[in-house]
Amino acid sequence: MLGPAISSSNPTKALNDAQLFGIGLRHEHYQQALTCPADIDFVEVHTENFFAPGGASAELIREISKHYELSLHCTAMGLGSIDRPSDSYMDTIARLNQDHKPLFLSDHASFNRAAINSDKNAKSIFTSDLLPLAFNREWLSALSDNVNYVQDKLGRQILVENLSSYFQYYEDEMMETDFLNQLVEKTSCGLLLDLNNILINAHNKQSSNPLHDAISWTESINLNAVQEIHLAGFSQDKVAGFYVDDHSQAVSDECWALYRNTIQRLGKVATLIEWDNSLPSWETLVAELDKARAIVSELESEHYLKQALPS
Amino acid sequence: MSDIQTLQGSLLEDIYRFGEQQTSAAHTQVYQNNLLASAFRSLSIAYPCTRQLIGDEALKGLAAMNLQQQPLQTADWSEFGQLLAKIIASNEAFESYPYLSDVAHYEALIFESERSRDELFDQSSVFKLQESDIDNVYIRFQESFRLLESPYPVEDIYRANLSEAADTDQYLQLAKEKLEQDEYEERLMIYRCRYKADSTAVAKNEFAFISACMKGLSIGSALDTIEIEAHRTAENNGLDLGNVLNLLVQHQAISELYIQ
Repeated sequence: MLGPAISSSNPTKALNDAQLFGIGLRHEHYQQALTCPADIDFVEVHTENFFAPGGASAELIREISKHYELSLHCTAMGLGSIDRPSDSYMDTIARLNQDHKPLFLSDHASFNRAAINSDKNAKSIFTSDLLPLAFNREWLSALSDNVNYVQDKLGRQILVENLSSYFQYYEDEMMETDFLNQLVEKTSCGLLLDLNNILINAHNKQSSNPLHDAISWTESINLNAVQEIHLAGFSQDKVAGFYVDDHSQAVSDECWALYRNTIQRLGKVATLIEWDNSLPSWETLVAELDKARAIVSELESEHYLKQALPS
Repeated sequence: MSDIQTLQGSLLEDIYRFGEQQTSAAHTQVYQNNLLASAFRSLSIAYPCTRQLIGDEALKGLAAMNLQQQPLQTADWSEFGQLLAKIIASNEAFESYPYLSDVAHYEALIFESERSRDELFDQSSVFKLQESDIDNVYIRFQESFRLLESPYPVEDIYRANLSEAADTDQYLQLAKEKLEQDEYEERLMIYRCRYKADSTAVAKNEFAFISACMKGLSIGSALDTIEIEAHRTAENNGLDLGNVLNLLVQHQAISELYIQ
């Protein structure tokens, strides 16, 4: 297990003392991001888009990493699945990690594969989605085993992101925050706090005050483990009765308020804007990040911002 | 099975029942929609010409059929859609597009080629031809290299749909002329120069030679094979080995020559 070694020496936490601001870089902006480099500290790419061993995408990620620090954000490790990520999948992640040495490497507290037809020997089938986990000891054990396996395989800490979900399991035995805090204890992984996901879950639970509930959520999480924050917007159009985490809008006022509240307690932390659908111009996206900078500067100047959390 | 296996398996099973949406729970419909949208997006990237030819709604239908016939076996979407040409070939709805399956196959090979490992040709390996009898010299092809044989002018159909508007008519005309020929046979080699995969037509005997080498025959044995075939069909072999090797090198088809 990798655990204790990571917690005693945390490279990303040290980086965060400098306060990093980044953008989720998507296909539509590749050209502009390379020809007109923006004043941002890092970009995050979806790792699975760069799985090809050669060709244009391999060259593209090499070019991107010449201009920006990288964060590799995975969507298909399926860390909460019963079985481990496949060797070929992990070999590819390891190659990309080795080649590009990203600041962060992250995935979600979710599963994406399972054997069906009640046949435990059947080959797993996959879905493209991030399927939610039940918050109980059995699922925590599966998630922890895979997080430890991935960290051992890569020889580095990974960040695990909280998920947006459209239902809860009857099998839940604890709060999501307790589940994630215990994951940190068992694996020494970092946390990637997606504030938009917390708000979406509050809305989908018909909360009378989603922002209040989201703040309570962040008050229950182990902030020492948080290495990065994701900010995003979601559409007000419901799908099958739910607000969906579609990253199709500017960051909502509610999400900015949650961000302000969170970093007052958390201190400096890498902050990233995610925008995946109905993408605005590259300039608009970069400007969106300026709002985060302004909030941090304002808090810093008012001495509200903690310089470091007690260990 | 443990509870976790049962729960995870049953949610996956529900998601793959996207043909029965009325019976699915509301949250399952969100995941079903996402799965179908991802499958459509994946096919749109790999099969742009097929999409142009049949339209978005038909491609969405094919994405759903593909998922039902072969649920995702890996987390890598680039591996999805390998069945598409076969699904099209077996689907009555596309009978009026007899070339569509081969166009989809062509696109799959182009897509694979563009994602293959970057390789260089070991030029010094050419001297193997001087060092040893050609019966002992083999060709190692680049991962990006493919061959395709079709009774339809798939290359021109592809270009007619994806080229600049000014060139469209020219490719359409070429495709029509070839379709009108008796027993038209298209033989293509698909290769990648730098990042862009492309194709070029090769003669029947060149195709047979390259195909034999790709199956693992030595250069000498491959030549013997096509000569025997030429005798059998009373055709003139007329293969110029130098020309073929030059063609392959020019199109970055070879990584090296080697002796076994």
